[in-house]
Amino acid sequence: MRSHHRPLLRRILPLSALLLPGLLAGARTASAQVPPPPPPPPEVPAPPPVTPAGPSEADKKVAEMEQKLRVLEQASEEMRRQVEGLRQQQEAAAHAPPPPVGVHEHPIPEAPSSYVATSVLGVPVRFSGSMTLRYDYWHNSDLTDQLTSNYVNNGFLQRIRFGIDFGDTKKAMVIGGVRFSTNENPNPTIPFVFLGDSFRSAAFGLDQAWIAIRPLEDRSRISLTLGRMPNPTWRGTAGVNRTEMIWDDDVNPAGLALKVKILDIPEALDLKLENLVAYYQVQATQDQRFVGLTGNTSLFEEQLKVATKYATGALSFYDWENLNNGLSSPGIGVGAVSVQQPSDAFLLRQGLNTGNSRFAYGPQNAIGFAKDHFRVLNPTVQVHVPLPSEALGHPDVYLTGDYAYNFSARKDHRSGAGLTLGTRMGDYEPASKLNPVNVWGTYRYVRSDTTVAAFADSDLGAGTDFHGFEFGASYRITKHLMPAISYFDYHGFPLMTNHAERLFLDITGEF
Amino acid sequence: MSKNHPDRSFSVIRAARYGLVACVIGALGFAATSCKEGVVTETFDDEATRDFSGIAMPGDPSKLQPPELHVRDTWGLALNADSLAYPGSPLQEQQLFNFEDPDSPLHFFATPHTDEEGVGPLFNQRMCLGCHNNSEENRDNLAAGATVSAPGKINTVNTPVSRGGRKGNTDHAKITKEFANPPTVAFTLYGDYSPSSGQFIPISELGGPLQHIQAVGECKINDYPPLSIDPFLQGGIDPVTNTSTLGLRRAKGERTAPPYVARGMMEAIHYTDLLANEDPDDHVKTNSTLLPAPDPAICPGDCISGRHNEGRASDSFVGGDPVIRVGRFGVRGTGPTMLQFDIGGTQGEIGLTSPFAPVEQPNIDSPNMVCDKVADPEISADTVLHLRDMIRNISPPRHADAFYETPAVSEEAKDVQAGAQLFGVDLDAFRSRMTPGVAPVKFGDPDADHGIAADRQLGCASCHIPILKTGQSPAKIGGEHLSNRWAPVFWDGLIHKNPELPAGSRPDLIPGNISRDLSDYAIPPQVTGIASGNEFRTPPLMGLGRVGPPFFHDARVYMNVIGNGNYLGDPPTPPSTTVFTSADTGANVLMEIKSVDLAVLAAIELHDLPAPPGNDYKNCPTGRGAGDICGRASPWRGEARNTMEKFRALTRAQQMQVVKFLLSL
Repeated sequence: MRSHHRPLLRRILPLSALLLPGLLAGARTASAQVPPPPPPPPEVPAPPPVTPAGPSEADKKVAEMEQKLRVLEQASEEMRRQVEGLRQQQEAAAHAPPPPVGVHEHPIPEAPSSYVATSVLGVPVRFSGSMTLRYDYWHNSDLTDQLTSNYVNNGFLQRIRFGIDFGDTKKAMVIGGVRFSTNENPNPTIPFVFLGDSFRSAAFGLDQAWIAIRPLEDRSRISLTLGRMPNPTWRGTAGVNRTEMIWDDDVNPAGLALKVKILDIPEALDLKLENLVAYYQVQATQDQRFVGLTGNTSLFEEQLKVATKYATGALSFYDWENLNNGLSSPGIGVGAVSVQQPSDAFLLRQGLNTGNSRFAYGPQNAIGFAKDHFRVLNPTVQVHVPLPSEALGHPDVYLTGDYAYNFSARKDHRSGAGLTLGTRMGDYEPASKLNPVNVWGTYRYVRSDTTVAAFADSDLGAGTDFHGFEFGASYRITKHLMPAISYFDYHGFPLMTNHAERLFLDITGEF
Repeated sequence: MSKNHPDRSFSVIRAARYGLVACVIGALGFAATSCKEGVVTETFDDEATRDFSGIAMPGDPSKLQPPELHVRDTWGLALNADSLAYPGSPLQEQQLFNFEDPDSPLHFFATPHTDEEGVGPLFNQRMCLGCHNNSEENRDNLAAGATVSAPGKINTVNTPVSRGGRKGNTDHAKITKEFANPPTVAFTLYGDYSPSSGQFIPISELGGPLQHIQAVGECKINDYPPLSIDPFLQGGIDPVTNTSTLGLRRAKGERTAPPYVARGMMEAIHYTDLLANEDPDDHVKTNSTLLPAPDPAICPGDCISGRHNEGRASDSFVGGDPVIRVGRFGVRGTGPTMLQFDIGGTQGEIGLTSPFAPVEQPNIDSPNMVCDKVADPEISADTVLHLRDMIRNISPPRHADAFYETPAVSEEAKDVQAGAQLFGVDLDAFRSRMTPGVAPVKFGDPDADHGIAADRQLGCASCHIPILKTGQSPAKIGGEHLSNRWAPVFWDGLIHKNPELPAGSRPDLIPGNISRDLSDYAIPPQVTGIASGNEFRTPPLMGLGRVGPPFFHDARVYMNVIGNGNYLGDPPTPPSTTVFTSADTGANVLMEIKSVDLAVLAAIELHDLPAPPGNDYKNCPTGRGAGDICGRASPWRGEARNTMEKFRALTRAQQMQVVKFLLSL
């Protein structure tokens, strides 16, 4: 017994020295450098030999010691329980940022693998945050000579995000998250704000607020996500680049999304078959708000994805309804004149990305879409080839093709395509000479009504109706510090005549 | 726990990485924080950088040279560079006139556009050339017996140097979507005008101020709205005041396209050279040996005043600068830029939106309809800009040989040169500035530099100034043809008071179907500037002998010997008619205008209200007060009142010498 307790004590004491301060503090950054363990406590001296006489002084001491050991055993048990709790938290925190559905299959390799993690009432809670400082240089053709021929965006912007996720992403039936972000208003694709507002505070809004319900024991099988969520649409796996022809990276749709993993056969080239069906409420307008088209602008999305070890393809269908929500073009009656002011469809108003075809609705020329709906078919394929180089961190070369066809748009305005060639190299393994680095180039030709411009890429093309290319690269100096560079050159709206060039130099720090 | 490699933590590589990042951040910070832009006194009207303003800069008098005049016989004959461009223009300019190239501005100008390209929803023409159609009307009239005296030689193919045609007067009640407006390609401006305040209400609620007589798809055309539905004219029009209870009355006026002759030169004249000819209070007394002299009780000077108009391009197109500038283009000289007229034509007349005018015209009669199925903007900024490039580079024709015959031996030359002298041209000064290699006669003398004779005789040259020198053209293409030239514009860029009939008077009492009322109070501010409804800008006369009739801003002086252009069910439309006066043929003789010569004569005659009965003011009825439209001191006569007195004192033969001179232009 005693000999059994001695090693236990030796295990407990260092652990308690290590963990108790952290527990008392409430939280610890799991990625923080672990301090060197304190020196082991001195060996407990062996007890003296026991004589058979009645309760001697020695027996009393033994009894006291045994009592102390029992107390220590109880303390040890409590410690064991707490250690196990912490272990679970650390394990939870060791995963990539957890979009609610189907994310664990394709973690972004250079995303920080550590969070500030703790638990509330036994539920793991992870805090995350990032701050990106961007130097933005931009100019365009100044088609209508808006005194911008020599005018450029030439300064710093920043994006700040702060998020909280809860629940064990592997085991919990319900997980969720909340994230706050700068800007995204009025344009949901632009989270950056300019520095230089006389040090006044920047608007900080609710960017995500979602829960995911995963009823099956294999949590990845079925997931129903509710709220304003990270975009569950598959847009690429390899590297950090995701195709943004339909969805800008910064858009977080709101509604509900059901994702089902239909097949998962690791032995067959890691074959997976998944289906996503989602309903998003894009814009809701109360009927009494004003004269004109009101109601809900909605998006129904269906995506079927087939993933294998080397290639992944998805076929998506988007059905946008009531796009002209907000459109009002009052007319006249015989001998009467309306005093109602015309208003444009919400999704074509100032502040949002442009590019969609704009039509003047008589009599007062309010701007609307030609049709009240877009029905877009969007096949996406990504092929990625892992290259056997430990020194380069098992690099991937990938090619992503994206095509979209809008059945509701006019000829010559209905389709778009994009191609991205990229590579991901480096990791944090000892054999790698590089930390994660990503390099990519993208070309897109997107006609005006390929998709809803308001939610498409805000950087390359700033919506739709453009053709041009993007080159980008990023490198993780540490897990928490990443510089990146992006260059864009495109001819955009209107009529693909506006030549724009843009350069981003980013520094991102995150935890 | 971090997986960073401890063995790399302090390595040179890591140090280099951090150093690199620090340098980048530092450089960026320095770059961003040191990006001081602009200057304290920065203005947005920097002509050098504002290409859309198209503002001429001062020229260099030492570099003044004759203009590159186009060979007269081949000028304006066809849709090609040989007929329209400056002689010897380089390939880049010639390409502007390459009609075979579907991307060329001339192709755009002269090709009917389709619904699929974005025409409409409301429009007046499917192509620019649709408004420049008088040459083929003249061809038909000449073939049917209309005549023209030498040196007139009228073009018979529609090109950008053609102007808007007319075959009869407009009856707005008979315009239909099916047949449009058969007598003319003129378009109509309308709205409500307040005589007391000068306010013009464009009644956009009723589709104003620009009427559209064609529409695509199921859309209705923009009918001229009856007074009964006009919210500002409810309660009817008071027969005494001629206004509604709100003090407003309906104003309506037609406009036709001018011939695009040497617009680049007109643009290149520095505005100070226009202002130099202002005489708003009629202080200038010019010399004339013709009688009668002006009555000092009526005119302090020579009766010709003239003032500049003003406008800002931002009123007319997106990107136009908001600086109020001296205007020069447009029927009232409001427009400081050529570009605004390109945009007005493409969007206003054809219904092709561009980044400069991204929204369609009001489509008031077709609520909730999208008849134009093409997204806006429908044409690119470059299309509009290239159109301007082309129009800038259309050359003026050389004057007829009879004008240059020295000494004048032929009868034609004698007539032309006599007419020129009556007009007020200094022949030697003018010809010397038009002829390469000849030293300008009396260089530096203001009148001589304007080609104006010391004896102005009729004084026509006081407004139709024969020569203005150009400054530095803003044209990026073809500027070398336009800068520092003696421009034979016969134009002053100023607005002048025209003859007018008072509201409520009976214009039908003046014989003829041409209205002698040259006022027009359809005055949307963006095309009117500071002008009053009776002030119009002097039209340039370049190419008059090639372009031919009709004349005036609404083409009211027209030939129509063929008699077509009538509304469905109406009888054939007759030629236009008005009254003429000369010393030997009598006063106010009604004549049908069946020749180009008479059309030119009528255009001169319209410079003032008709002569008094017997061409003697003593015969005017008395006691009319402010409503007097006959007397010498009538307030309704125009600035050309004394010029026309002198003209009407000439014999018809002398008058025809002036006509022949004009036909030599």
